[in-house]
Amino acid sequence: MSIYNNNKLWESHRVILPEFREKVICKCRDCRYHILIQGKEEVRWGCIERYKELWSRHPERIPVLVLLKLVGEEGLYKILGKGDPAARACGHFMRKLPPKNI
Amino acid sequence: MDRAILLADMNAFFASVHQALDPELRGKPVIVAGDPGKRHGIVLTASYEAKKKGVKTGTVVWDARQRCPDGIFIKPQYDLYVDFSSRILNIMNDFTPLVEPFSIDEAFMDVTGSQKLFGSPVEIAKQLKERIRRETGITCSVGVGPNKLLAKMAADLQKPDGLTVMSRKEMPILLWPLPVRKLFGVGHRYEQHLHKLNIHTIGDLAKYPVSILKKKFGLNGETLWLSANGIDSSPVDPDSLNQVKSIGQQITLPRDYRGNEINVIILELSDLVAYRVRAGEYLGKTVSLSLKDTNFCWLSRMRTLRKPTNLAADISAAAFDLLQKHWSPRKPVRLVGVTLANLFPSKVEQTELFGNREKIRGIEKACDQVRERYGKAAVFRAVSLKEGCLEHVRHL
Repeated sequence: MSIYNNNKLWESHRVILPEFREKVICKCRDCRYHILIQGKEEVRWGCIERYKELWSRHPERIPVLVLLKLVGEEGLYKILGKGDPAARACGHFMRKLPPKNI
Repeated sequence: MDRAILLADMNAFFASVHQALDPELRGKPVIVAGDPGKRHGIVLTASYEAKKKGVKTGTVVWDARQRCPDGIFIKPQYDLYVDFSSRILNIMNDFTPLVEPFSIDEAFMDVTGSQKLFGSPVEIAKQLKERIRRETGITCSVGVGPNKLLAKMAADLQKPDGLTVMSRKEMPILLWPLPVRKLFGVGHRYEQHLHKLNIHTIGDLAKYPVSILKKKFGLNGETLWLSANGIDSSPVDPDSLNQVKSIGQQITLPRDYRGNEINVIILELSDLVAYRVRAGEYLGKTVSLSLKDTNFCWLSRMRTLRKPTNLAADISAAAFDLLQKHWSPRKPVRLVGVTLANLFPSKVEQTELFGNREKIRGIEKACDQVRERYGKAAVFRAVSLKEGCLEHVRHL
């Protein structure tokens, strides 16, 4: 009966695309589009995937006033709406770049 | 207390994604198929409208065109499917943190602890179906059972857009009359072996003496007997994908390759595999090479290296060796695959004092960083520019 105490039956039949696997095991916090937004009194997480074309290299932290100028108030709310760092990565997930420039 | 397990299986997933995005495709026979020009010409998914005309997964494209002349053929767009799949998993996560993806379009959920929040398992299944339909436009079949096996079998009973509950009591009525091939884990070969033992239905298998099955098929015999009796205590493991046993890549070639032509492809595949192994921070010890000829004869050979590696040079060297030993240069190759198995974390790695191994490691690391920043096709070997290499391999 030992076979059924682990996940062996299912592991041997699982079919997963490598790209899908990466997105499933990662969280938003591992994504390069997930950045800190620096406000006057607080700092919040947000997702800039929708506006990714605005940056050549995505910043790790950005002042809210700069962001407001770029995307407007409505855009800012959309960015802040996807701010949960512990959420499962979405289909647009891109792994964070290493901090050091090459 | 019995667990409450759900399996949600998306209906004709790839086709449904296209139908969800383009309202004009709804209600029409949509067929997602590979490119016959690249010899990937089989149907990956057919919508239910196309299925009615006899088009199934695995049907060859020209056959599908004959069966369904008004079919709308679409090339697969994996990024899109991964995106939809992630969204569906996020919906499932709202009901329980215990979600185990089983493939791109199926996932198990353990909702035993969610019943006080969302109601009975059937109510949760209804809410789940409704949310997936409303938020993604895709329908799914949900199976509810006391374990993963019964949930999976239940989901397969009613398609499309089904909701089936299978309790332990109902199992003999619903499952046992079905042909043994319908049991999860029984493929074509097992079916033949079981027929020789006069086992034709799942019920026959359930009543067969387990000792004989064990003697004949080893541990798998016991697994089959347990499955036929609806016994499965495997957990719904949300971290199941964190454990990787092997990383590999295979490709069907656009034409038959002979002799040394195949070496470039093996090198390109080794590069891809090594890149993925390093990205996952693994080292692997066993290299396996798979080849298929024009008659679809399959050969797979493996070799265990003396030292674990994540370098393309080591993987390709072992693969070349296997090729030379087991494949005649005159024999055409239709499909080739390279896999690195026996993986373990690369946290501790032995560096070398002599030789140029450290130099190669540095070069591959630098290439990884370039690929990470500019895309997978940003850097590749000069040999890949030669005729016969596969441009699209670099874009996988």
